[in-house]
Amino acid sequence: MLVLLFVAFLLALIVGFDVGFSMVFSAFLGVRYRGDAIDPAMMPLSMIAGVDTYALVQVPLFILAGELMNRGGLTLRLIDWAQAMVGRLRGSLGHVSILTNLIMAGVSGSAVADAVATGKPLIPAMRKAGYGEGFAGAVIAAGALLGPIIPPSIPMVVYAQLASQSVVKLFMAGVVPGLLLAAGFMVICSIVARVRGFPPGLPVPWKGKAQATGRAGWALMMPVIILGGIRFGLVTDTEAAAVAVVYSLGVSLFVYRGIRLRELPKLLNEAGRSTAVILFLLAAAGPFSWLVAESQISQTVVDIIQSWSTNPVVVMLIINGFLLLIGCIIEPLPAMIIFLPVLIPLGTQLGIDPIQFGAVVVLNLMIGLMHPPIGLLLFVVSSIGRIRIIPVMWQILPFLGWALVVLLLTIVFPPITTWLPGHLH
Amino acid sequence: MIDLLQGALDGVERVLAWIIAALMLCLVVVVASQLVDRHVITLPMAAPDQYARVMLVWITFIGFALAVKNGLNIRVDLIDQRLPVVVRRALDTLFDLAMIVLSVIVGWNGWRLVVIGADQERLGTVLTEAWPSVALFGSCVLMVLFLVLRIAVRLAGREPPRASALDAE
Repeated sequence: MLVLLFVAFLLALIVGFDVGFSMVFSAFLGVRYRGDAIDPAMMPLSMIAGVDTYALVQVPLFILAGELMNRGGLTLRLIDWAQAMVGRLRGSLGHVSILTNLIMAGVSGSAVADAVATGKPLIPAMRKAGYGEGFAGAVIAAGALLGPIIPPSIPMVVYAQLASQSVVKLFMAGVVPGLLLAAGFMVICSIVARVRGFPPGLPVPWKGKAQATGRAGWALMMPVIILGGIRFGLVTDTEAAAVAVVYSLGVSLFVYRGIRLRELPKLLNEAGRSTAVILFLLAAAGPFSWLVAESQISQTVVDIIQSWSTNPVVVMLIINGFLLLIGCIIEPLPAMIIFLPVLIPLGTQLGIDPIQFGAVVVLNLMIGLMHPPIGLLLFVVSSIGRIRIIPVMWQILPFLGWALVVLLLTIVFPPITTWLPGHLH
Repeated sequence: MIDLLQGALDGVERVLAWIIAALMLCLVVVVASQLVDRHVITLPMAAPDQYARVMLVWITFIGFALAVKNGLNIRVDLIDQRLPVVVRRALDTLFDLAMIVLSVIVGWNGWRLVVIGADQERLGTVLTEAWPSVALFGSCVLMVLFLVLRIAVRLAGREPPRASALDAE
């Protein structure tokens, strides 16, 4: 019966009912099914417990830091700096996009925010330089993918909460895959630029590079402060988020003067609402997780997959194949919240390192942001760059291919994700 | 009548927007104060993490009610774009009604938690355990009001904001 309720939930989801309320609906049916055995107060109780956690406090703070960075002019300085550094390369604007996103990823943790921030100035510039609308959009989408992989990362925080793991270790687990992605994306940009004969930019003399670094210095320091602070134990992950907000606010208000004090309430309110939409899913997942546990769906899935193989690598490949399919129809964060209660016990039973498991799952689901048909980043770049989506879908394929290679590498070679967290004290 | 209700709820939204902004600011201050407390001077606040958690719960539930009002909550639009407009509108109304029913159920049981939690201290703070429950209860009340308005707007032949896929990564 409870399995049928789970199916009812999936149906509600597919026909377009609110994702959070679909979970609440299923939990309610589960409570009713058990008659008087369960007090319905369990639903609000577990909803509150789902978000009443200190580790989640960093979610609104990192969202706010990203907003401040984008609106305060820090992102534009980073683009100028990247232009000075790699501008002489053939197809330089593609490299600029990846490099800027790599630095921004060390602060914001949100792919869509990064895509909007870099896409607005860079897509028109790339089109003007003759890159073609599809490639221009694809480069921005690929670069933005680094946001939730390189720490800080909101999906990593959510995974840590769902799997009771260390946020800091998960953050560190994303560093090497993120750098691998960025390096591969830049190689793809070079190859495409050479094949299509994109023009090289003008070389910037050392003096110009130093000046650009000076102008972007405040922005460049942000990831250093955040990641360095966490890595060396000066601040906790949550405190690092507050430091990021205070720092970006100070720089935006008093150094770059990109925002005014009277704009602050609007920014705070928008960051609060974005937070609410994400965290309500976690709240709704509270009673839903109970339903999953009660129905023993996890055990059924574990038994089925273990009947196929007990080799951790094979099981990871099966799980990832499943998640890639899920990524075709459901956005990453809801997918994570819906399916992780089922999948986490599977990893645990097979002895897969939970940090590796988390990093792989997050990377997999984030890839869903850039693959058709519902890759959110494709729609975002199409919307902000006013470009057709079909060319973007074609041009994203090499980047998507490399992202899948990195995913495969993280599955087959666990040290890619476990080496850095293993060096944390 | 609908315009009157809309105007009143828009006013409520403006007030709540300021509350959320204030909570976000307080959240930054409270979390940052822990750094000051550890590295600079000892501050008198005993359990800043507890206050931060309560603020987060309030931001989540009140913010979500506002997201529902503006159609910013997350849904999977897999098949509805292919449905005829009439069917889509009927489905949207059905979904809104279902959300009203669920909000009433959660809100009612949430109120029970408010009553129970009112006598329980939240460790290290001057707050009680009722505070987070009040946010959930308030959110449910607001959602019912906003959803009733949405249905009324639709019945009047106008198009309310639709839920959509947001920055869900």
